[in-house]
Amino acid sequence: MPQPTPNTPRMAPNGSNGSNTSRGFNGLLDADGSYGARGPQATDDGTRPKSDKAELDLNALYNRHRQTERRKARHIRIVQLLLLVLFIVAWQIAASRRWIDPLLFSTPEKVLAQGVKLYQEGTLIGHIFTTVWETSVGFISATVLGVFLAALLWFSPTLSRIIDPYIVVLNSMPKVALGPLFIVVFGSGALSIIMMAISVAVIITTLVVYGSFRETDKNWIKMARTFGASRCQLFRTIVFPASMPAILSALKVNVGLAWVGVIVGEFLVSKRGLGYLIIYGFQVFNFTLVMLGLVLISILATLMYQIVAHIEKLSMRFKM
Amino acid sequence: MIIRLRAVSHAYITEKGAHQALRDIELTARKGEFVTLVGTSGGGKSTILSLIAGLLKPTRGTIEIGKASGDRRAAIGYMLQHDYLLPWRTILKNVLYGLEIQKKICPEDIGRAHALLDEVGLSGYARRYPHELSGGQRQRVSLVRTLITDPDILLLDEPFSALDYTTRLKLEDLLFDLLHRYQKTVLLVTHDISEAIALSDRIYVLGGKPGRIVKEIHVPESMRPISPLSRRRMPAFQSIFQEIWEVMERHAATDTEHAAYGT
Ligand SMILES: Nc1ncnc2c1ncn2[C@@H]1O[C@H](COP(=O)(O)OP(=O)(O)O)[C@@H](O)[C@H]1O
Ligand SMILES: [Mg+2]
Repeated sequence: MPQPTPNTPRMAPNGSNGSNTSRGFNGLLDADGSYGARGPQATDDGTRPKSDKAELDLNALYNRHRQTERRKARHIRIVQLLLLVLFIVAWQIAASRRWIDPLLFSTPEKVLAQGVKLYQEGTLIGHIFTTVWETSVGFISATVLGVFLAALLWFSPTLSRIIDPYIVVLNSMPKVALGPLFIVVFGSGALSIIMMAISVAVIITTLVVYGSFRETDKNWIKMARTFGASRCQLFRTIVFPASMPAILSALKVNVGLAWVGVIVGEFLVSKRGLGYLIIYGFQVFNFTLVMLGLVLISILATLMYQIVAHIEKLSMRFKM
Repeated sequence: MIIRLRAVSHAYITEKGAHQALRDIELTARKGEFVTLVGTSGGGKSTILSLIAGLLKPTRGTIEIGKASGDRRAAIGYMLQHDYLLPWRTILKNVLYGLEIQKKICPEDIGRAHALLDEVGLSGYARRYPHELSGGQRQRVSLVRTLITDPDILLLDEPFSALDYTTRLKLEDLLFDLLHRYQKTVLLVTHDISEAIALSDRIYVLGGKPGRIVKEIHVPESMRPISPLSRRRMPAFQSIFQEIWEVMERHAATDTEHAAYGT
């Protein structure tokens, strides 16, 4: 089958020994304006006069640029931190001076104390763990399921045209309204909460990812078809990898959506978790507990988002 | 004959209506021959290649491919106008893409890929990504991706049109050398008259709307073994250029007359 056997020593038209493999086939490519013929190892040849005063010191310029950028970034971080501190201090002062009702809005001091107390009682970690676990399962399953449904739609354009109006209806419906139904079907436990998180995120994921599947560059598809690719191969080797950025960005959005589903779910059924903490605090009129729940949710949601964003960045090292 | 088109017509059917792109195309290529189709853009050149490659079905007429018994897809390599390298694959993985679609990759294929990359002056680039390469380098990768599947027939759709002039001249020589060495049958499509004369054994001129073959030109035997760069300096080159130019002008002129009559 391999008729052209480039493994055998090739006939070099210029009669050279052929050992200089980085050269073009007959020396023509040497003059190529691109650096290809020289091979990637070829760097500056060092013949440049280093003491020449007219020469720009590119390294120094680049380093200075990086230093300025880093300093700017550091300043911004400092201002951001100051804002946070300012907010906490203002909250504390406003409450202790009775500008806001400390019974309703609590104080940073009391929130911290409440947190420490729950931690010492040994329940805080449990609440955090429950909610984080439910949210993680929720956003990952929603993404996987959404991608799966999008693939189904891609494989059958007819199906996708038929169910298009129903998807629009499902998408515009507020999913949390399904809460009571989920409780009836999946029981009043973690399963209902996870289903709630999934339902909030899955339809929009399907729509976004399917859109990305359909917008795959037609020329890549044509290229694959010139080699005789089947529809399955098209999906595996072109459409799916080309949509990776859209899928990862859906994953990121789904983190936020899953938090909505999980917290609402915990409001409705749970005996554990941060949503439960909030609703319980509300029922016993302990607004410090409510505030603690809110603070923890904002910290954890941010952390989770950052982790996913970091994973996205790591897996996007190539340029699209 | 390894390729034979008989009275092939093709119409594109879209939501806006049906539009005839080709009319009664008669075209042949012998084994090992380098045939070029030259014509203005929008003339139907790419359509002819897609028909031969089997990506489109002719509305009328027949297309015969010499290797009638074997798999048509394996017998034909089709190189598109742009490289369309996949940005998430390394150069090596891009080169192996076509093979991967057609069969299982064996270790020997990887060796061949490296050897072919060497041959087009891209040794050491196997682990790079496409965005790190220049346009000319990328097009060479695309050529290797097509060659490594070892097709009998190569269809080349304006492979150099997106490149700057000097890069193009060098790639023409590279292509000429490679294809003669491996004895491929080539059907090249271009709007560049001098590229057609520099590379081919035989030239078809495509003209009119819908596109049809308006002239067939045999490049003199004496010119054929000569490399593209040297051919451009031969006296015969100019006269052939003149001949094709006049034919294309005449058909461009008839088109405007048609347009004036509101057809
Ligand atoms: N997929 C398509 N659908 C409808 N019309 C097309 C399509 N592809 C090409 N055409 C039309 O067919 C004619 C010939 O196109 P093409 O074969 O691409 O010409 P060329 O390659 O010579 O530039 C043009 O008028 C073009 O608009
Ligand atoms: Mg074209």
